[in-house]
Formats: sequence, structure tokens, C-alpha cells
Amino acid sequence: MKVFAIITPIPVERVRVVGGQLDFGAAGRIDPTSRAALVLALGLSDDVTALAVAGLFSDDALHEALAYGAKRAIAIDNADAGKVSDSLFDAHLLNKAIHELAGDEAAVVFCGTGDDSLSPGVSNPVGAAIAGPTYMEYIGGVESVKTDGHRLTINARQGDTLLTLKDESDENTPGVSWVLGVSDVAIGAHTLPGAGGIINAYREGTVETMSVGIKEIEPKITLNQLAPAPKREGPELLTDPPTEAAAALVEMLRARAVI
Amino acid sequence: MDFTLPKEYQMLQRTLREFVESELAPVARDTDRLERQTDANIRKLGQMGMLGMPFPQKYGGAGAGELGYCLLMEEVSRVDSSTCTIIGAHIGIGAMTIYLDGNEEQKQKYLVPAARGEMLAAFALTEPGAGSDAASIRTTAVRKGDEYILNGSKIWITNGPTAGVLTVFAVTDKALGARGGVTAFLVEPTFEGFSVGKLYDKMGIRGSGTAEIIMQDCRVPKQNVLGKVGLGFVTAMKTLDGGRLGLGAGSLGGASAALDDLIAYAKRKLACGPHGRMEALAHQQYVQWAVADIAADLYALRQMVYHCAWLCDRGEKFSQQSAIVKMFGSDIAGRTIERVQQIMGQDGVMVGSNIERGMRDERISRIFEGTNEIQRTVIAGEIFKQVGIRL
Ligand SMILES: Cc1cc2nc3c(=O)[nH]c(=O)nc-3n(C[C@H](O)[C@H](O)[C@H](O)COP(=O)(O)OP(=O)(O)OC[C@H]3O[C@@H](n4cnc5c(N)ncnc54)[C@H](O)[C@@H]3O)c2cc1C
Repeated sequence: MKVFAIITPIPVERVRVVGGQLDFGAAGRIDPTSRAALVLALGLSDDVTALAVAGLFSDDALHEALAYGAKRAIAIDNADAGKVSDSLFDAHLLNKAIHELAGDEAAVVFCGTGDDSLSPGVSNPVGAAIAGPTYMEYIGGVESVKTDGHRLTINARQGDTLLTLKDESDENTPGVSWVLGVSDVAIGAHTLPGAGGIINAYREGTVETMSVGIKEIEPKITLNQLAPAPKREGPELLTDPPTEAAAALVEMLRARAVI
Repeated sequence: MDFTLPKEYQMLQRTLREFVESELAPVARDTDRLERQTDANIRKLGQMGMLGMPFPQKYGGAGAGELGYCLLMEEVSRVDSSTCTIIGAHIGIGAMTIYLDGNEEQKQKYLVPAARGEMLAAFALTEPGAGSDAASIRTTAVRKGDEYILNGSKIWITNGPTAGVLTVFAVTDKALGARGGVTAFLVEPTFEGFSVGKLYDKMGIRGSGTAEIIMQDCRVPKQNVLGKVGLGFVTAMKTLDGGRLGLGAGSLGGASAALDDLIAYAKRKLACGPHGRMEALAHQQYVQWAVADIAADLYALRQMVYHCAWLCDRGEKFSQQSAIVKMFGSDIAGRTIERVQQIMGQDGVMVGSNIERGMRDERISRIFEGTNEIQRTVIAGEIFKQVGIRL
């Protein structure tokens, strides 16, 4: 069984608009639900591999995962495509990376499902989508996980019900691979990395990079091909490339005192 | 020149703040009121590696050096100066003596458990009649076979009632005095002839235990001589260099918290403005100027603290700088809290409010580990030494 924790980085500072641009600040950290996922993963195994899609703050967040006690921390890079990426795309990258890293072993992937109240619009939940493309089972609301070394027992809250799932596969059959969605930030709230762990994460720990190629799901259409620009007054379609469109949107919102 | 905190220290600072706010802040008032920090919190501090922050990992520490120690003192004192004082006496002056001058055996026996937080350390120099003038201590240590017999008492010893090891300074050669006649000893409270005397009832940092310690024919094995016989005063002085820096970092935290309180208050509190309208206190110019003055002081102090820690971690001499940091920091903390308290009016004198507690707590930082008058003497002494004048 190979245990993974998916790490979603978020900015340390509150995201601000500076000169019409989004300013994410200089440092990142692990989003609270990813932290909860990591804490559960470390409770299950002392050999956890932390994975994040390479990007803004992935290095900071993966170092933090090392400080918590992850054995390895790997930033997953898209070998083929450009910089455009979304949750589904990230999920494909992670799925492929997990596949490669786990090999024949069953994978248990802990994944924070993001908490929009804590990091509005920034956290990037990919949980179910990671399981989606291939052989893994997904369950959300995971609160605790135990193992007898081979099979898992998972407690997950679905609404008001606490479900207990048992992996019944026997010693001769390969265990099921799971993606376990964790959303309860309270799980990691009182677990902090020790001072020595933090120092070692930077002085001795390294964040590895791994390139995974997936050309085929590169977005092929651009936004302005979806619909013709409306002629009437009122809603306005921004047809510029995404960065400029975002900057223009920010300007408009500021002009209307929305932000 | 790069002034950014290295990434590991940024993470350390964030983690410390999270820990302090979730674990220490909720009980800070009780720590003061009940006059003790709980064993559970001391244990947690130890488990987080905080009680060995500056020491190398091979001695059970976090390996974060003096900069890590300063960040710890700054963050803890933002919410709880009592705990900051416990940590300061434990790391900054207690365990630090063992790290600086202990032999390998002493480090394994005392420094490792102290750094892991399994026991607290203390530093016992002050005596009745020997506060600022520490060179005139009278506690004696006489060699008798494989032991030293210590006689005398030490007063105002932080962690005195709780420490598992105390670095006690005693006179081994009266004729030589502080210049070669004082020796440091590692004393365990279980040693025959050791006892804890009266506990002091202080106006502030009430959650940190301060006591008299008494040695009456106290038997200390000769292996517990710390450093070389006769060089104890040197150990004490170089240890206090780092201790004073830590106190300056504590003042930085306390004053920063007071500024945060002031800003929140100035935003929340309504007062009658110049045009007869009720508006937030922040619109009053005297409040704005207070905020600006305090921010400027803190900007200067923060640079000083981190720079001095950097000097220390590079192995450079920093006696003058640490005396400046201690003096400047505690003076600033004093006037900041006083000013914030005045602006907060009745809310600032309410027993149990952060600013009331802060006011009582910070007062002592201008006194211990050398009063601010003594710091001025140290600073001037270092400066005049460079032009050939010995004061
Ligand atoms: C809460 C607390 C905790 C403490 N913890 C410890 C501890 O853990 N270990 C320890 O060993 N000690 C400890 N001390 C003792 C502390 O270090 C002394 O109180 C301090 O050094 C000052 O000594 P004193 O109180 O005897 O003042 P004094 O030396 O009597 O000074 C009285 C006044 O005279 C001034 N003065 C004295 N000499 C001079 C001079 N040469 N030039 C100019 N002015 C001078 C002083 O600045 C002061 O204003 C603690 C004290 C307190 C209050």
C-alpha cells in the first residue's frame, strides 16, 4: 500500500489587488483541508508521499508537508502542455503521477476537498476528479482511516450519517486503491509541525519534481469561440486572453466599488 | 544585502503564531491569575521542539539558532509574557550555559532533556547585595574530595521552584573574585543541602515562578563544575549577552501586540470628532500619531533584534548590540504600552485586559538580566574601549 497526500497550496497573505493585478504575496502554505488530509495520511503511515501540481507556492507547501513528516515531497509538472491548467487537468496529472509512483501497489490518496470559506476561490479541490479517470474509488467526508497493514477501514461522514467502509479484499488479491476526500479542517487544526521538522524541511529536505505528460487533454478551444459577443448593453463578455481579461474585470469591479 | 527571513524561519514564525494563538492565548489570563503555567502547556512547548529552539539537533534542539530563539520569544510574548519569561530563563540563560561551556557528558545529561522540554533549566546568579553588581556574589564553593560544598542563597531565580537543573555561580577563590575566582556549577534540586526558599509575589509575569534558592552545605559532585574552575563569571557574562537579546525580542512581541490592540481599538471605539460627529477613534490625530510613532519604534526594534541574532548566529561578538536591543526594546515596550493604555482609557485599566496585563508584565523587562542603567554602562563601556578608555 502506498500512501499519498495531495497538497493544495494557498497564499499566506490575503490576496490583494495591487495596480489592477492580483497580488498573492510572497509565500504559500498548505490549505487547511489538505493539512487535514496530510494529518490523516501521517496517522496511517510513516511513509507518506506528498504531491502537488507544480505552480505558485507548490514549493512552499511541499516543504511544509516535509516539515509535518512526509517522507517525500514531489511537485508534478506537466511535461507537454503550456501553463493553462484547471482542476480537471491537475487531477489528470496527479492521477498519472500516482499511477507511476504506486506501480503495482494499491494507492491510498488523501486529498483535501478545499474550504471555500477559508480561502475563497483559491483552494483547488481535485479529489473526486483524481479518482475519476482510472481505477480508484473515491469517498468524501473522510474522518478517520485505519489499516491492518493490508486492508483499510474508512470512516466517512455523509450528511448526518457516519459510514464505515471496509476493504474486504484478501491477502491474495490486490487491495483497492482509494482517493479519500477530507473536508473537516478541525482534523489538522491542533497538529503543527515541530520546530526541528521545519528547519530540516528546508535544510535537508528536498522537493523533487516529476514530469508527467498528458498532451491530449490540453484545452483546445478558447473562451471567445464559445459564444458571439453580445451586442446589447448590460452583461459584457471579456474576450481578451485570460490574464488581461482578469485585470480588466478587476478594474471594472473597482470602478463599480464592488471590491 | 537581503533582509528577508529565510523560508524556514518564515514557516517557523507562522507555526509559532498559530501555536501561540491556539494554545497559549486562550489560557494566558489564567496563567497570570493562577500564577502558573500548566504542565500540559510546558509539555506541548517541549513536544513542538520550542524549549530547545536554538540548540543543535544532536543535543535535542531544533537547530534554529538565535534567530529561531528570537522569533519564539517574540511570538510567545505577543500573548503571554509569563511563558516567555519561563522560556527565556530556561533556554536563554539556563540551558545556554550548558551549551556554551558544558562538556559532552554534561550536555548529554542535562542539555538534551532540557532541550526536549523534559525538564526546565534556571540561572542563579543574583544574591542579596549582588544584583547589578553581580561580581560581588558571596555564595561559596569549597572542594572536599570529589565534591564541592556550596553555601549561600540566591534570590529572584526564575524557574527556581520548577527547574530540574540550575546553573549556580559561587566563589571558589575569594581573593580573585570575579576575575578568576567564580565558578559555575550544575545543581540538581535533589542534591543534599539544596532547598527552595520563598516565592516572590510579583506585580507582573505572575505565571512564571520566581524564588529564593538556598544552599546549605549543598553537595555537588566535581563532575558538575561547568566550564573551567574560576571562569564562571565569563560563562555568566557571555550567557547574558544572548539572554538580553531574547528579552529584546520579547519586548518586540509585547509592544507589537499592544500596537495591534491599539489599531483594533481605534477602529472599534467611537468618539466625538471635530465636526461633532461620532466617528472611529482612528480619525483623531493624536491616535494616528501614536500609531505612527509606535510603528516607527517597532520597525527600528525589529531590525535590531534580527540583526543582532544574525551576528550571534555568525559567531560574531554582539555584547554591545544585545545590550542595546535589551535597553531599547524594553524602553520602547514600556512607553508603547503606557501610550496605548492611555488611549484605551478605562478599557486599558480593566484587570484581565491584555493591555493591563501587558503593562504589569513589561515593567520587569527594564530590570532583570541587568537593569537598563547597567545596559547603558555596558554599551558606553564597549564604545569607549574602542578609543582606549576603560570605564
Ligand atoms: C522577575 C525577576 C526575575 C529575575 N530572574 C533572575 C534569574 O533568573 N536569575 C538571576 O540570577 N537573577 C534574576 N533576577 C535578578 C535581576 O537580574 C536583578 O534584579 C537585576 O540584576 C537588578 O539587581 P537589583 O534588583 O539588586 O538592583 P540593584 O542592583 O540594587 O539596583 C538598584 C538601582 O540602582 C541602579 N544601579 C545599580 N548599580 C548601578 C550602577 N553601577 N550604575 C548606575 N545605576 C546603577 C540600578 O539600575 C537600579 O535602578 C530577577 C529579577 C526579577 C525582578
